[in-house]
Amino acid sequence: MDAKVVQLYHEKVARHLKNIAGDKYSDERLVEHRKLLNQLYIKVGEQISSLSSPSKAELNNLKLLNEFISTNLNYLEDSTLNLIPYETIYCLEQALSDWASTKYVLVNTHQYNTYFFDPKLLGEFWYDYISSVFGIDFPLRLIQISIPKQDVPDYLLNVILYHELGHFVDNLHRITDGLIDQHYSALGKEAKREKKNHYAEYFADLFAAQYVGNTLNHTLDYIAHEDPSSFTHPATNDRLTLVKKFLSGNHDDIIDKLKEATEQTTGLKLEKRCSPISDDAFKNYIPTVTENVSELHSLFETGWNLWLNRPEPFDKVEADRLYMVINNLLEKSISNYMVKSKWEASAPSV
Amino acid sequence: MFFAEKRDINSTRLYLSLLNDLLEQGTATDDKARIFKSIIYDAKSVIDNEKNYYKISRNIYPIVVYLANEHADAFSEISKENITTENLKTLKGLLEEAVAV
Repeated sequence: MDAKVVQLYHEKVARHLKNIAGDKYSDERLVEHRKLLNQLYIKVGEQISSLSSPSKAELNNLKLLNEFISTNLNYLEDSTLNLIPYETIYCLEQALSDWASTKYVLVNTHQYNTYFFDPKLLGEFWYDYISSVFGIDFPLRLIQISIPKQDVPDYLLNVILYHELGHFVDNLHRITDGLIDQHYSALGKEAKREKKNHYAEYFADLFAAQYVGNTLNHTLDYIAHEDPSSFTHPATNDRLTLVKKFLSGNHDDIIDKLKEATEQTTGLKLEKRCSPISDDAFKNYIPTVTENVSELHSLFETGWNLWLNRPEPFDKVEADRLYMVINNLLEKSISNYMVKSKWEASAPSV
Repeated sequence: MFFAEKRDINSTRLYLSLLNDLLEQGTATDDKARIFKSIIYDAKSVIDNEKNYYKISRNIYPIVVYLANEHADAFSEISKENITTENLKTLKGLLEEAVAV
């Protein structure tokens, strides 16, 4: 690796920082995060300039730091107020508060036309290294989630984000890592990796099911219809069945192991965390009032049920209009809850 | 490569850089030795069956599992209560081996 190429990538970071300098984010703390990235960019630049004949390890570290800043910027870029799926992110933040501290912030990218969670910025090694070498301490950790741009305002499809949040929680607490090492240590390396991949998907499915019930199954069955088992994913039908078993409380060895691992590593139970709500308001074309967070999560399931079952008066509504109506009702219902919560949090006690 | 993920290798490389700096300038009693003492402590605890995999510190999990699974012998003489500079040097050698491609 040539030091001049490392420098080239460093200058690319500079341009990126300039391009997003005035952006406003859904989470105001991200402005400070961006300032720290700018400080890090300057310090890395100073180090690149000061090394007359850098070693292979030094160049590799500088490359990693360029990547660290770039990855942060890629996600910040799409996490501005008008680009992020604001209401859904709010719901995910409520779920997140069950499992992680407020230093973890959800950010998203639209650069890839698919859903995924990227754990790249999660490792504490970045922050240990940067703090030790450059004296810069990042108080926040970004949770990198990818969502297709056209899906941002689609609240029914947004349930997939709960699955991606599940991958984050798994990575943060090393739930399925621990499970595999605890129960499958005798397997060979590749078999262990495959098993780990499958358990990670099962965990993310069950994690989502805690909050949005069976709704993820509808999207999964569409996206990966009857896909067979692969190295990275279990067979789709096995995943669908497992979610159904989890929601109906049936025993299953995989579910039992995931419940055990979750409780051992987090102290929390893998269990249903949403409460059914009435769809009467929706059927009158008005947003639903939700009283608490578990009812808030249930909005997604209620929206899905309306779309799938089309009770009166929606049985006479054209699909294109119904699609707009349900998404609007979900958006307004979440938004109302957000306003109400903020109001109650700041209201003086009587 | 023994690690499942590229990020495990990257994390090990960065920690290795910090460990090299530490060993050039300080000892096991240095504040900066904290992370590396945790790695040794957790690996030794797993090897001695005092900790299961669910109880390993999350941030250093891949390194600890690697050490416990692949290098248990290197920990037979190590005392968790008295982790020395020599122990850190041993760790350095094992981590260098881990990231060598």
